Amino acid sequence: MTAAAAPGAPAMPLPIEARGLTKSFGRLTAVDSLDLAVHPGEVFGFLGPNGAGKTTTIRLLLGFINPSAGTCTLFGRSGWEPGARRRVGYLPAELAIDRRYTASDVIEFFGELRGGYDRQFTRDLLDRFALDPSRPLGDLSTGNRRKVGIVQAFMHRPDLLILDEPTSGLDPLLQQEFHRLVREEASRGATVFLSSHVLPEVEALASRVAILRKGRLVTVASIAELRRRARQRIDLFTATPPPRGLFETLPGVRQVTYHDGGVQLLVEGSVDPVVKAAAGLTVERIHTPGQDLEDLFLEYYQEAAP
Amino acid sequence: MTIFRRTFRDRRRALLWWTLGLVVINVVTLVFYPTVRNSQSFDELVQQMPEPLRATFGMAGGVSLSSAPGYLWVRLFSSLLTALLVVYAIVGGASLVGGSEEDGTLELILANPISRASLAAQRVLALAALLALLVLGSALSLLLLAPPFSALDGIDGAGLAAAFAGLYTLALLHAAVAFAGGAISGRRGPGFAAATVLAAGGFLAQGLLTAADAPGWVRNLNPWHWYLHTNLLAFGPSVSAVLPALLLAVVPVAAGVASFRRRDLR
Ligand SMILES: Nc1ncnc2c1ncn2[C@@H]1O[C@H](COP(=O)(O)OP(=O)(O)OP(=O)(O)O)[C@@H](O)[C@H]1O
Ligand SMILES: [Mg+2]
Repeated sequence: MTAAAAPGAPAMPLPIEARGLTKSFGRLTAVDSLDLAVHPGEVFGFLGPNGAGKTTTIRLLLGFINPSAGTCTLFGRSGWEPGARRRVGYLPAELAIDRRYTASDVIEFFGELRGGYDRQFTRDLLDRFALDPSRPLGDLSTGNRRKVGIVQAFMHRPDLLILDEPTSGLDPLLQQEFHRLVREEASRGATVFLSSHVLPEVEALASRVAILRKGRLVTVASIAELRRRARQRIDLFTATPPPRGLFETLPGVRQVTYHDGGVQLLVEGSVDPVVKAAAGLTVERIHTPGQDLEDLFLEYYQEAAP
Repeated sequence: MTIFRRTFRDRRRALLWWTLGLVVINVVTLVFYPTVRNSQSFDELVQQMPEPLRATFGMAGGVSLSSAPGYLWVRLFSSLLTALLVVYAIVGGASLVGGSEEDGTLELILANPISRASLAAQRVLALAALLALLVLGSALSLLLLAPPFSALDGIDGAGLAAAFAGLYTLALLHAAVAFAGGAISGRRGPGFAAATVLAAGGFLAQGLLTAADAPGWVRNLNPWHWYLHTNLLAFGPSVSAVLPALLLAVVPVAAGVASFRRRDLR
């Protein structure tokens, strides 16, 4: 599957574009013929299980490693060019900064390299995340070091944020704060490329999602589209046992299980036919257990790529 | 020059300790000079040696071991001082790219709008500057501390400058080789290895080939020979003790930068 841009060359270069992007380490193909197009202003989720090739893709984008085949660009330029990285904020999965540096050192150092940064915004960020900028990184807790990573990625208000598993190591409150920050920056117009292997985060933030498995793109779709594709479980508790055969033939119904209180259905796509059919019954309670999207993701993670 | 300044700042505390170490070596060496100056027997022993063997002690050209230039050249400039400066150069050079890549700290810096070539070049320049300060510190301390021991008798400013300049370029060459090993491999180890081979091999070969009275062109393949073959304190400035090492250092630096520019980070 591809997520190439609409036909006809786009007037503006895309924040992220990859064509046939491939990276092999010896015999292992970590990223395999990846086609990606991330549009300006969107929050793009990049999902995949451990070892799927998410970090490798990001390292290719930023020019840390060379593609074995294919190309990738940031705003139409190779990540190798320093200029291409000027508009990017990068939060690595593991923050490796000299342990002797304080957050202030990092801000000053990177700010200078980037030719300036938003001082007021950075001060606010430090406040928001309750980060003491004067302590050496080596003395900080994992979560606090994570915050330094966040501040350095956001401090110059970049047009493109590349975030590799940004909330790992953050407590739920900070995760919330971080999600708010991402939404704010997105609404300001920044593009966000969010790599993760946890679904709820991506579901909460992203408008579109790519799912990667063993280096290959399994699917690219909007969250809404994925929801449509996701199977739903519907538990109907009825006054009298429902008649056999009523639901089995309806479009989208994949599985019918009768139980004491009624019937449980597994529906793919729209549940409208089920609801219409159930209208003839005396339905006392409707229960939709489980996280529908979660199930779909687990399937994508496990199944062989189409 | 952000990277230059940052590299310099990161290392200035260590530089202070190293300078202190070199000052201590100077002091210890100077303190023992009066005993050597007053004893002629060791000098007579050296004078009886054949010329090639004397040359390995830096005693060629009739410089007496009990004179200040003879004593300092042997005890400082062809031993511990040189060894320590070369160690500083190697450790620093290997860490410039190889070390920080191995630690993982290089990647996030390179996510910023800076080219790899510029980063590497600025770090090399920073180390060259740090090394210069270290040499300068050693020179100043010698200049200040030697007179009470009459340890500068027979040494003029030109001789002192020549010796420290030779020392500096030799160490710089080792830093360049260590940098190249690190920049090409992305690890410290190969940088240490390459430069240590040059240091240990060059030093040993210099002594052995001089003692064996090997042909000049063979000995001249060795950067240690360029520095050690005459007593710079006694005979003063020598182009061959400074310029060849300086020019040669450009080669590993260029090779390291060229490789680092395009390869995959680890
Ligand atoms: N420099 C490298 N040399 C060899 N193999 C590598 C290298 N970098 C990554 N790999 C391999 O490539 C595959 C993809 O790794 P990658 O780090 O991109 O996965 P990921 O999707 O980020 O996983 P995670 O969710 O665990 O972070 C893995 O099998 C990994 O071992
Ligand atoms: Mg990863």
